[in-house]
Amino acid sequence: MKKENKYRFRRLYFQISMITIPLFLIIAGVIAWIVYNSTLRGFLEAQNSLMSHQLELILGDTCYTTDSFTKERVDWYFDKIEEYSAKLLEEDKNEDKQAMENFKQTDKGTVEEIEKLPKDLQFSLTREFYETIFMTMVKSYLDYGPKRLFVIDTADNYKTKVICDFVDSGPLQLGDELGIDLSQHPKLKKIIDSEDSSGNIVFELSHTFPDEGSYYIGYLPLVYQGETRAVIGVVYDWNEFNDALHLTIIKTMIICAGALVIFLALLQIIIYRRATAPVTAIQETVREYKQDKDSEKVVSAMGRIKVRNELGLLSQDISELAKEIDYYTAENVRLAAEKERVAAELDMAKKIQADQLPSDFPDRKEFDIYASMTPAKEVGGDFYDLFFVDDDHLALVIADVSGKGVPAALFMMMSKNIIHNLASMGLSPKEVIESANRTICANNKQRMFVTVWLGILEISTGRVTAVNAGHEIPMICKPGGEFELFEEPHGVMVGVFSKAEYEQYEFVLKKGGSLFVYTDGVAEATNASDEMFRTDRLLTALNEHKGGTQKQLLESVQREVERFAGDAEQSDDLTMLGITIH
Amino acid sequence: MDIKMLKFKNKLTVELDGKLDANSAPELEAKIEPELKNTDILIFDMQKLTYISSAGLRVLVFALQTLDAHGGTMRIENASDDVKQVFSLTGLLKVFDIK
Repeated sequence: MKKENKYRFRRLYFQISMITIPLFLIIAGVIAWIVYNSTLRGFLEAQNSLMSHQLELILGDTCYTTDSFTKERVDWYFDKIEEYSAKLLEEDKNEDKQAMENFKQTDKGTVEEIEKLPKDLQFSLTREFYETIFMTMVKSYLDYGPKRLFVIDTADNYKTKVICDFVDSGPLQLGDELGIDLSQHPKLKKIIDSEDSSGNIVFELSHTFPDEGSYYIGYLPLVYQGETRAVIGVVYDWNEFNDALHLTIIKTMIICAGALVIFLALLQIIIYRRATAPVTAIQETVREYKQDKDSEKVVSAMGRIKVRNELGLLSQDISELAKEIDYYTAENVRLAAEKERVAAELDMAKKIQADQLPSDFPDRKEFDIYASMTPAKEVGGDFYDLFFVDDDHLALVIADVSGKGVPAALFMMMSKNIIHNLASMGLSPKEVIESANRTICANNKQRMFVTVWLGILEISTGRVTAVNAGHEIPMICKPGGEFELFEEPHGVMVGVFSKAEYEQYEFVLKKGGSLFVYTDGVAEATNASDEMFRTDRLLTALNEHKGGTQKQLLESVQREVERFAGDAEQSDDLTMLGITIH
Repeated sequence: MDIKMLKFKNKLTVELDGKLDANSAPELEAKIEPELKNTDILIFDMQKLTYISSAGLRVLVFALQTLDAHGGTMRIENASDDVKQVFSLTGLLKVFDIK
């Protein structure tokens, strides 16, 4: 039992975990994917914006466009830089600062006006422009620390010629070839070939420039008249960037995974504490209760379950149920005791009633008499009586009280005693019944009644004087003949009409003749198919079994009735009285 | 036992179907008792009544006596031979108005 408990408990927890853990793994996977992508995008955006900013700053500090400094002029300067490339690298600085200032005062930014200047001044101005670029690049290179920073010319004549170049080892000089394989750099090629003349910054990942490895390059094209004039390029080490990215992603992942694990653990603990543990506690308590029926233990065990959910309510319900079971168990015990008491009382009543019916039949040579009463319930409403009024007169009574059980039994006791007492006084049957009827009617608010056949046998002559007060018709067997119904005058049953009058009649039982009286329990005994035994079957049974003693005859009839009824429950008392004159 | 009651002004018709025995008699008594006070003519239709026991007779006698007390009449109609036999045995044939 115990092992099965544990197994079931684990199963519940296992089943919940089977759902929650894979669900969490899926959620974790999705979160990881989102985190990776957003971090990567964020990193790239940050890197792009950093590089863009760097490139735009360079552009802004050098080739800015004002009223006096036009794109046309920038184009011209680049031409001149290429033209004077060798001279620009020389240290000689023979400048006429005053003339430059003077020119700048009136400068409109056209190529036309600068072309009018003397060559020296043109060179000086070109040099100044070149130095501005150079110094801006140096500053940017030092400030940002890229892997490489360069400007190349992209005009048709000077394609990929270096303007200036900054790299830790071996920077190229003005006029040098950049030495980049454009087939490996389609984006740069597109810009240089002026296929993309939008002027937007372009980024690309390279594995061959500036040397073998992974580099992230940003190109800012300078576009003049739909043609790319120059490109500023900045190169960062992709691996460094990647390492930083991965480090960040790993950190984020670890934090997320940790949070998820903690959350999952918390969830499992909550499930265990709020569901599994209470269920186990309830189950164990209920099982224990089944064994020991100790409701106080249940109440205290359920009181310890303090979860605020359906299981908490269930535990309360179980507590109350246990209390109610206690109450009903006590009630049942009380009822059982009560039932036992009533049964004992009924048993006693049954004995008292049985004692009222004569069981010692007079042993006389003049006649053979026998009677029996079988109540349908513990006590019955049928009765018979037989007693000597005097030496020569034997009173015979058979009666049936309406209804059954205790009420009928009480009424029967009263009726029997009244009739017995009146008959013992030597009154005629008519007098006895009429007097008994008046007495019974006087105190009969419940409107019970009793059917009575009363006969007084004069033993010496066999003459029977009788009255039938609503009772079944007697059966008489003449000597050598068969049992037959003896039609006689019928009065109304006793206890109903106080003024009822009864007709008395007489017949003679010759020697060898028999009389059989009975109650409706005999003729109306019912079998399983709801058929009644009826008087014809009763007559047949009597005639079949006659010849022996009355005891044998009555017992045979009783057996016949019982055989006919079979297992069907009998609702009426079964009473018979028989006498044969010898 | 199936009991159908039809009340028209002060005339009550009670149709009995089945067996009127110790089990069904209390039901019949409970049903007709409140009606008897304001009933002048009570008719028991016993066409479908298959059996009547002493407990059933008690209810009929009770109804008759209650009606008698305030001058009402009770009639029994369509009783089968079996039922009539019971009335005959109990001497009620002369007491009841049987048609």
